[in-house]
Amino acid sequence: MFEYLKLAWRNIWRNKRRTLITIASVFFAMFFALVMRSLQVGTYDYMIKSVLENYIGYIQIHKIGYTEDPVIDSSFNFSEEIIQKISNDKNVKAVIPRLESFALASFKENSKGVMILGIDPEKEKLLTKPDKKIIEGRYLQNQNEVIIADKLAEYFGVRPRDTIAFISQGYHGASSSGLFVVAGIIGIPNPELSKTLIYMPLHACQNFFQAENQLTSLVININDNKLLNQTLESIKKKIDPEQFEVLSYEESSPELIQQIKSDEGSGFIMLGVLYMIVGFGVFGTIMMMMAERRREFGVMMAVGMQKLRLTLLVVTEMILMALTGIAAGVIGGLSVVYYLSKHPIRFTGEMAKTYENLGWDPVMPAIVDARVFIFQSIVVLLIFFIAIIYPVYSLNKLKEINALKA
Amino acid sequence: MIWSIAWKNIWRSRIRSLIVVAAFTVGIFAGDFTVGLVVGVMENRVNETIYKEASHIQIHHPKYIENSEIRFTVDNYTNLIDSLLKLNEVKAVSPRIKIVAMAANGGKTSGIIINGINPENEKNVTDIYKTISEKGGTFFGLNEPNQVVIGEKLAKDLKLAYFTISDNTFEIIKNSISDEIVLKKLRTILNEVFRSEKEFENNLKRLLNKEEQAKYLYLIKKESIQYKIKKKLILTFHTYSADLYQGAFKVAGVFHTSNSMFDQMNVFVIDTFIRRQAAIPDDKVHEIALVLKKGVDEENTAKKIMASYSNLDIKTWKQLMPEVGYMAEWLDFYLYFIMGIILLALGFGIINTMLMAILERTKEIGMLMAIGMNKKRVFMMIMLETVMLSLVGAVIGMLISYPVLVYTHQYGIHFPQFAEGFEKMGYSSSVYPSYDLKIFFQTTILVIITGILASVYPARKALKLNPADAVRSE
Repeated sequence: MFEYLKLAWRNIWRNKRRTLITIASVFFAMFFALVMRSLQVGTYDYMIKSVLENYIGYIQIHKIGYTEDPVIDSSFNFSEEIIQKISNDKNVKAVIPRLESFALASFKENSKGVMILGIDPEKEKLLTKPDKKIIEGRYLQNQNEVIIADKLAEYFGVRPRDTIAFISQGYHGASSSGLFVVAGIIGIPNPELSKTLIYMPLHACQNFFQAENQLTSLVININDNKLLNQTLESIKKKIDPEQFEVLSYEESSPELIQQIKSDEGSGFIMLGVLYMIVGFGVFGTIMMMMAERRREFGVMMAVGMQKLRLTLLVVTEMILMALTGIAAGVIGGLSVVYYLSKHPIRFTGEMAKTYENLGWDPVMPAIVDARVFIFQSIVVLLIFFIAIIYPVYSLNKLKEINALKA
Repeated sequence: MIWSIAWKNIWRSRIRSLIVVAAFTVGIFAGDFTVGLVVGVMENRVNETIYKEASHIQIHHPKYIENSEIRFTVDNYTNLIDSLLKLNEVKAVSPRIKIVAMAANGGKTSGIIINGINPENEKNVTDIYKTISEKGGTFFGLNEPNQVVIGEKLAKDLKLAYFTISDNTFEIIKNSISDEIVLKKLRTILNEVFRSEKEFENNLKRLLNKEEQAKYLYLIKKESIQYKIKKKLILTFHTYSADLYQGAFKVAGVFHTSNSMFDQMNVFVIDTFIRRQAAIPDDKVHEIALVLKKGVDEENTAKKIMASYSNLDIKTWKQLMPEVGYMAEWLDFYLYFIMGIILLALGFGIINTMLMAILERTKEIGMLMAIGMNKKRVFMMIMLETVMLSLVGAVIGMLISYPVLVYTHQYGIHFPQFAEGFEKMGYSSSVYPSYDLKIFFQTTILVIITGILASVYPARKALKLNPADAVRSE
């Protein structure tokens, strides 16, 4: 075996240009597969993150039955103790209390059904950061204030400092009504939410719905998305399963996951097309290399080298070159991907407008993920082996006499 | 002279030529297919929007879109429709009565919009009637005036749908699922009735493992749903004279577009009946939807109508549903970005292949130089060869990709496991690539240019050869 390695090693160095070209073909395959996949995964990751951080959070805790029937009567009693228990987990970044329900909002002669979200103005900054999204007026400061989503504000034609009236059914059927001052208008990217959402300070909201100290959900923000499942399990152990349900975002909004997955569907088709192209690049290069070396192979066989041994030698050379190419591709890809993850591609002009219309930050981030690197390396190695099947096979078919004449 | 040398070179080394041709063929196929896919996804979405929801143009009272009150009507609509139908651009027109209402069944209620339409005429404008499945009843096939056609999402919300794996359903499922273990698990809940989707889903989730769920859940749900056709639905709304009206309607059919939000919000009833119930004067409607002939520009047509009816609000689908336009633009851009990466990869693949080819021909090129061929001609010769090979590759590539595109356009590429997510976004889960000839040739030319540009570098490398050394190489 060592003999082959030695011979292969020398062969590789004998014609540096040829070796370099072969290595380059693998390098490019690796490089492009890595960059493309990292951009894809980065984009999906970014989209999940922006949706989660816009509203639903990573983990939600409700009273049992709330998801089936999300009404204010399915609320639970707020207790510091539970929040303390959950916050102890290292991966938990913040535990955010909320009370949400529906009401009829009226301003001048218009009225519309809206969703009122009672939030702790300080804690909410740790997840959805509503204070950063105010486009007119200011963030919540006093108890009798609300902030209103932009499309809804447009519908009513309200401005900061206007007064808006709410009527609803409160906790256990109590009737509730109240007047609130609009402190500010908040930009909500999701068009549906933007037409219905109103933020109210938690205490004011509890008073309004006559649900003293009640919450409909605890929303949890976490530090590391990859540890989501472990965190979920550890939280489940800490609280009473008879009373509460603990849902990850995958359970509480499965459509989000499907949305991302469906995007991945087209992503995979594109990746498949890329594999086909780079595979062919490698195949073409190797075929050309074999053609160039026909005479050399002819001489080797003429002086008595068995075809099997020759094949083994050539395959060893190729594997050495492939590994070098993959290593170089990983290094090259890693530096580009790392750079793009720190300085994401930022769009300007028309494209930026499209992104803003959809409520996204106009960036295309890449992600540095070990799994992507390992998986793509394996795929490229596989592609390489598939690409060399025919060239190696044709080597076995080579007739010494013809090869010598080349 | 150069032409004939290049031509002979191509035939002299057939394997080499074949590899270059193949590289181009694969490139062309990849390019055409990707672009066809991208354009197809966009076209689908836009067509769904136009033919199932928004139509090309809608006409309303100027205040209606902002505030959908029953009083904001288009008056004298029959005259307006007559003159619209006289326009060359217009294919069909549907006047609609629209009323914001509450639908109720048992204890469940939901806010909806009633669309009062003429069923036969509506078929010329929207394809809603085509989306009613076999078990979903009919598009106004009952013999009563108070029939209503509702969306699947609303049927689920109002408990007008239930789930059961009946013996029949089981046979259908058996055709698509061959996994015996799954079938055995399903047999345990045979003929059991589940009143809500959630309940059915929870039971399936209990039975099936994650992998099986991902594969079959949507299919099983789709086949097991049953609708309560002919069941009563109570609609409540304020009439034109501001009285409160409450009436029972019979469910004639259940439609299912690929936008679940639309399915939840819209119900259809017969216009003459609802006009009487809601006391709407005979000459008034709320909305006029127009479908234009193929290839007509809706912006221009809208402007043309606006010129004669300045007192009405005339909007195109892009203005009515801007988010569809934005999403289309974004996806378009994103996929072209990916396409850019693919083209780059193709370029480098060709550079490598051509570099190897030049390396192989060192001796030959050295010889040509030694007998006096100047550098410009050597360069021309190599480029000519590449162009000829790329054209052959292009033709073969097109001959392969066109039928593939036509086939997939006809039958679609399906992602049933993602259907739910797609539909929540308002997309269809099947992709039908486009085979628009203009785009097809554009892409092909783009790939050829990429390939030829990529071979400039290797050809220049050949010029740097030193004839004396090159001749001596093996």
